[in-house]
Amino acid sequence: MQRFGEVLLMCHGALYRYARALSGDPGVAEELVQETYRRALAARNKPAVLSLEQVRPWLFTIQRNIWQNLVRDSRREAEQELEEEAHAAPEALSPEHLLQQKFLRSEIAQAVDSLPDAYREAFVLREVEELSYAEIAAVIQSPLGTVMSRLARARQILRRSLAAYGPEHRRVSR
Amino acid sequence: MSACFGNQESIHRYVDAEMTPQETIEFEKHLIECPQCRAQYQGLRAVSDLVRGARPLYDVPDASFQAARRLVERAETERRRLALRAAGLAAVAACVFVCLVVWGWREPAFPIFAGQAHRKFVEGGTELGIRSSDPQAVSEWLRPRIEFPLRLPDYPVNGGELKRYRLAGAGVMPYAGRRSAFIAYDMGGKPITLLMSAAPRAAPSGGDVYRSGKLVFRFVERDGLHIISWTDRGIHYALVSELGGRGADSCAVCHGQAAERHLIEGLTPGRHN
Repeated sequence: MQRFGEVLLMCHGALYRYARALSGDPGVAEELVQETYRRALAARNKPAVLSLEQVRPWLFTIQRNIWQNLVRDSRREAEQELEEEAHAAPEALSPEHLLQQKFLRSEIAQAVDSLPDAYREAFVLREVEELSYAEIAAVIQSPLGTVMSRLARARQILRRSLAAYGPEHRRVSR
Repeated sequence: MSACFGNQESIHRYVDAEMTPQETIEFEKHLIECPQCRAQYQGLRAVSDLVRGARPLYDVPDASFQAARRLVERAETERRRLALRAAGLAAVAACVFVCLVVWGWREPAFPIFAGQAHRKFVEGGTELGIRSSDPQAVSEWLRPRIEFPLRLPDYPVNGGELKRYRLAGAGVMPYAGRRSAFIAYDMGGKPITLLMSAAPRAAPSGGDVYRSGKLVFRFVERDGLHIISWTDRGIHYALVSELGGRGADSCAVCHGQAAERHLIEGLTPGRHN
């Protein structure tokens, strides 16, 4: 069995992306991740099995609770201001093909970011973190039907907003 | 183009690989036959592929990972420090426990224990197993309960003399892991108790020493009690009373009658331990 700290660090990328999907802001996402680590390290009730499969949804749940508390404390407004500033920041230059790839990725990320919060959360957990419906339902503490309807709505919105991209995207727009 | 009625949910479940193998086979058959559902599926699949192709979607800053690692390392260092401290405390506690077991929690020396047993009996804290003034009856009661042979003597008294002490009864109490006999006497309303044990730890020590033939008697005064201890044929005795008299004089309190005086004659002071 791996040590708890090791498993926590293995989840960092997923946690950050989920934080990014929740908050829509890199700076806030980073703070959210740090706070999640603090809470997880101090938690008395840790998952019984210290495996990636057990620890990752547990961390997502912690992170989501922190985020909800932040929102409840009306800090979201200030964080949205940060988001606007972050979006205004220019992208760094890179070789052409990387730039294209990065640009496409940035466009997709932007499209995902523009989803309503609840849809974006479910969508990122499914498409980026590859959680099952049941795992997503556990993290967002909602029924399976809610998960499915949020995913369906997110895909419909993205299908429209990403209609312009690539050969596959022609299929998207069909 | 919309999927045919009722299949919207199935398309999403198929895209997300949430169908059972049987459902998957049936739905794939349907996709071949139904152009609307196929188009709908391809559109959703394309969105999914597009986003998956753009993964990890958000760049994870290395600074964030380093910060998380510092948090984890700090927590683990702290955990190790606490574990080490806990282990240290446990070791100290274990040492203290062993010391207490070896030195502190040992039962007191046999005469002191006899004094405590006497005090407890006087204060009503000890119930005798048998109440009888018949030495034979008390001996028979004790015999199966202790680990050494016992026959209480019935010292003779000369005609016209009253016996100065009277057997009151007996009980059994543990000492040094062995069962010892606790015998109670009464002398003019004052209790006298005799504790007998075969436990090696009960061997008398300390106090003023008096010798009588092969027997060595030790006299101790403690908390107003006079305690006489001796060993005879492997059995250790401790006699306790509040009756006055030091050294051999205290024996004379009980054995001062003509018929018993020979028991204490010849008691000579020995080395003081």
